[in-house]
Amino acid sequence: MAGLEVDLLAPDAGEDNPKRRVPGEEGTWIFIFGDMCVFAVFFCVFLQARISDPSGFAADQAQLNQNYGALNTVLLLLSSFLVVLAMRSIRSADHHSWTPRLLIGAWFCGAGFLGVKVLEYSEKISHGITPQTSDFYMYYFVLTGLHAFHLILGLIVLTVMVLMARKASLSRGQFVFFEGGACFWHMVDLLWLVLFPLIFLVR
Amino acid sequence: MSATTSLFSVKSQRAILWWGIGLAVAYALALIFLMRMVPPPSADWSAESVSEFYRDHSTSIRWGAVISGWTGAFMMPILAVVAIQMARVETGGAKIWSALSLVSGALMSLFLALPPIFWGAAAFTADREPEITALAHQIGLLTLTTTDQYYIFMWVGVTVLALRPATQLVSNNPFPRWWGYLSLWITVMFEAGAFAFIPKTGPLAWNGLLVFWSPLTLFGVWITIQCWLLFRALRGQEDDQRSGAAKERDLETAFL
Repeated sequence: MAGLEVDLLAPDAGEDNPKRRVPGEEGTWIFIFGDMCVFAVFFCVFLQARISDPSGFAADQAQLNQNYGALNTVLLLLSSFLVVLAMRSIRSADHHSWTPRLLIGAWFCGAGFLGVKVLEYSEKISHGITPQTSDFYMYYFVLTGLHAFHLILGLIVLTVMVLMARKASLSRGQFVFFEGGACFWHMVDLLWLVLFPLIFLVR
Repeated sequence: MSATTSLFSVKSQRAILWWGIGLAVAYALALIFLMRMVPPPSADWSAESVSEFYRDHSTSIRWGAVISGWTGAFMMPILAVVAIQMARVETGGAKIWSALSLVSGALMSLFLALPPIFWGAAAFTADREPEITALAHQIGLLTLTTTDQYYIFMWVGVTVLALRPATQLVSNNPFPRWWGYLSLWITVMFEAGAFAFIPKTGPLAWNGLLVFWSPLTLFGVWITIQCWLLFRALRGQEDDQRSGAAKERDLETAFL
């Protein structure tokens, strides 16, 4: 059992080893793929709706503040990078103490994303733009709102990970959960990387 | 023969589960073919269109309501078995998650049983003022779609128990770890239901992707997989009891 733990926690486990390991638990991937399927269906539904009214969608899209979207993209990419570093540091004996700090950094990037989202929504609402304004804005609010909801779940997961990272060492089960949490956070990032061009940029 | 083990409980659980499944199938068929609510009429319809719908299908909708009246509480028997099996694996004091799931089965039955009553009432005197029929129709559909959140209590309970390491140590456990993750995901997906009060078209309308189709599908998927897991676990529990009883008998004869 101890041997297995060492093996698992070794950096780059699997690279020299022909038997590659899926990070996290199998179960987390049910959650992640389930979510990604739902978003994929939504992206298709959005594009389908866009075909029926290209000029209306383009006019509404032009009113979006791309700076908010771009800033949020940077924040999420940075947070994902910090999570990657945290994943590295938790496996290293020398830099283990860095893990909580890196995760807290990622947490604040995620919270910053939500802050920008609140600004963006309130700007739209102050201009009288709501989900009922047009089809484009209905999809805009639903898709970005659904993503923001996942981001809030991700922040809860990151909080749990911070608490776990403060322990001196993790059991095998805890480590696998930790990895699954990191995968979930990357999924939240990945979904935004598709959402941002789809809603803000596609012409 | 002094073997004290009895298969009454396991057999009863299996029978009650089949009872629930039978009711669920009948309810679904009535919902689809008699009440014509899958897919539901668009939330955009005028009161006149709604009234016409109920005048055209008055008889079949009322018979649908009759059958739903017999079958609407199908989650009670299913959740009773789920809760008993949860209690079996929930070790360490008060079985609070199992209790939560049990009451949640009773609560969600209300929201499955009520909509057909409202549609039946709409069809009962379909030649009345269209606005009144439309109101009954809307109350029915909104009751069905916006009450999704009342379902999640059981999923949270199942998630907690399936993800708890101690649960996986119990033999013939119907809540594997991956099932916890799937239940958690379904919990998240069901939160969209309440939005149906706001839009009349799109994915959050009462006939939309997130409010109608995804909860309906996931609900069906959850019941199907959970029943399969329960039957498998019950089979294992029965086998264990049989072999336990056989061992006892062997011991008795050995000492005779």
